[in-house]
Amino acid sequence: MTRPETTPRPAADRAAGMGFFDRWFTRIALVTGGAVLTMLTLLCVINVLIMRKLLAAPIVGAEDILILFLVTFVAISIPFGARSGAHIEIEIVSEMLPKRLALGLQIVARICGGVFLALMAWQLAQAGNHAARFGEVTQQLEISYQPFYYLLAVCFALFAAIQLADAWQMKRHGQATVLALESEA
Amino acid sequence: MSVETIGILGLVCLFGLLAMRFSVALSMIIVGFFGTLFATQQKMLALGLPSERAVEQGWRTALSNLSGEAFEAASSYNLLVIPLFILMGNLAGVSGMSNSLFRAAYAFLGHMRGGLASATIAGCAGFAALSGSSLAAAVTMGRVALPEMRRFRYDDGLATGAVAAGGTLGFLIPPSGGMIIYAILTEQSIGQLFMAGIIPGILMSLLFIGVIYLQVWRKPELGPAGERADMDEKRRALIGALPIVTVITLTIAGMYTGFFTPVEASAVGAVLTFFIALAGRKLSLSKMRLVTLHTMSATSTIFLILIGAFVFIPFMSLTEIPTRMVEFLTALPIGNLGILAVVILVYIFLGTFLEGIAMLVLTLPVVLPIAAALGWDLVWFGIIAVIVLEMGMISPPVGINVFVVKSIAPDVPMLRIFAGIWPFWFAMILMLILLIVFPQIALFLPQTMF
Repeated sequence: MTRPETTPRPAADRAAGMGFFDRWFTRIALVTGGAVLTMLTLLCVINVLIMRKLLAAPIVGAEDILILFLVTFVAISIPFGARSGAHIEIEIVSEMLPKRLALGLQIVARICGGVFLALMAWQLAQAGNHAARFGEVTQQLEISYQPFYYLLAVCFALFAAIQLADAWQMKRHGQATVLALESEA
Repeated sequence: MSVETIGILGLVCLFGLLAMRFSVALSMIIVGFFGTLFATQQKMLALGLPSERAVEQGWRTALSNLSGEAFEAASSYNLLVIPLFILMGNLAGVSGMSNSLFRAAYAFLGHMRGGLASATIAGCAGFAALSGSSLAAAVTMGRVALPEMRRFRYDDGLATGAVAAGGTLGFLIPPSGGMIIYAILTEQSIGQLFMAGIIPGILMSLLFIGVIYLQVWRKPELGPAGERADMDEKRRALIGALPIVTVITLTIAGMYTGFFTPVEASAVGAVLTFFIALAGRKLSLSKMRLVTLHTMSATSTIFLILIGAFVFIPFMSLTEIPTRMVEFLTALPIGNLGILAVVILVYIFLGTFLEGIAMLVLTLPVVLPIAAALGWDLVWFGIIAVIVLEMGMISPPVGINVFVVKSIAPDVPMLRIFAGIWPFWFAMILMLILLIVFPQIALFLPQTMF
């Protein structure tokens, strides 16, 4: 197994374009992901310990808000995981192949993956268009899922772009770099 | 072409994509999408629909499946436990709570032969109850315990074997990422599965300690005794570990008594761990950034794989391959136990080259109907599956925990590490036998919880 055969390198060593992208992407992911995670955790604890157990008055629609926080967090995390090499791959077969063939297959995999993820993003956006019409809303507060379908679509599109950028890097440099979390933090 | 043939072709394509190094999740999504497309078309044609209508219906089903299942996975309330428990584990990891757990176990066991290795197992069990990840348990405990064991001239095989095996407890002792995924895919209660893992987790830790004791009893030079801690040291070590033990007890007892749901327990656990780390001045801004980034990264791994499973499983159901597998296996003259043995052997084999979570999501669509048809308790089977996955984590050639240990002790040859692991591997086999003979080991707590 496991993680992509990509090289974690500090931002300074990366190609200028990717370095710029990574810097901003990490900042955005850190701010939005951190804020959502904090609010999610606090809302859950406040709703349980204070409102429900202590005051016997749970916050109406807290579960709805938690679900929307979760969708947001997952949406942001998925492309970030792609940049930090978090998505599991199985290397055992490619390690037995000649290097050039293995690299060629990886490039094909990244391109096909990118194209398919773009299709997935488009389909999520389509589902978002239909969400309002079909009344897809949260159970208690009846908040429409439409913007969250769009958010997921945007994040899958970003994931697709990262796959294609990986393929480009592999073609040019023989390998793709990933974010080294320790140096980014 | 029959739907079964489409199913088999789908499985072949899946392994082809995995071999090409598509990510596991993406492979499942792609095969699930095209498989649903073709299988639905085939079914519609069999129902007598004109081919254009069948093609149109196939596309419509496959496309709506793609977006619908992805959104469902990302918006499932029960899956809130994943980022929250990951957050709790990461907070515990960066704030060095593993040290306190190891010190406490060492203060009581360190003076015995093999005591440091036993303390490592105990520390791993404690840290597993915070992190839910075998990798995290192996890495954090390995960094603390391996240098100590080498300082006391422990045999390299025993030292590295104890860390690698101890790390696997993260998969069994709640909160376990593997169990959450199993619970979601089999529609079992996460809380019940967590409870089911407690007694086997404790028993497994004791079996590991027993294995260490047996080894040093036969060859005392493998694990020389450390220094004996005085009462004051023991007291201080206990006080140091007390806050962490309190968090573990509160979250587990909260779920057992029904005071918290697993989601609530995970949030409360994360907040308590945060305050303990803050009170101990173990958190800084850069560490908080690291915690956030690691939580996002690990969350994305699990959620993308779940989305893959959510898209892939309906395709498998359409192909009726699981039903055929059930018919085939139940027709074999090997009985219920024989079928279980076959399933376990297949898992052990797959575990030698597949990553645990990947193996779980890839095999469950086929194995689950077998388990259900044979009337196996799915909570009990979940514990069996998790233990077999743990075995894969320390099996050659790609046992992930072995590589983790190797990264901490690069001068120890792989063969030496694997040689040190085998005794623990057999302890896991013994644990499986115990669970098969006495299912109540796993089922007692879930059946008595509120």
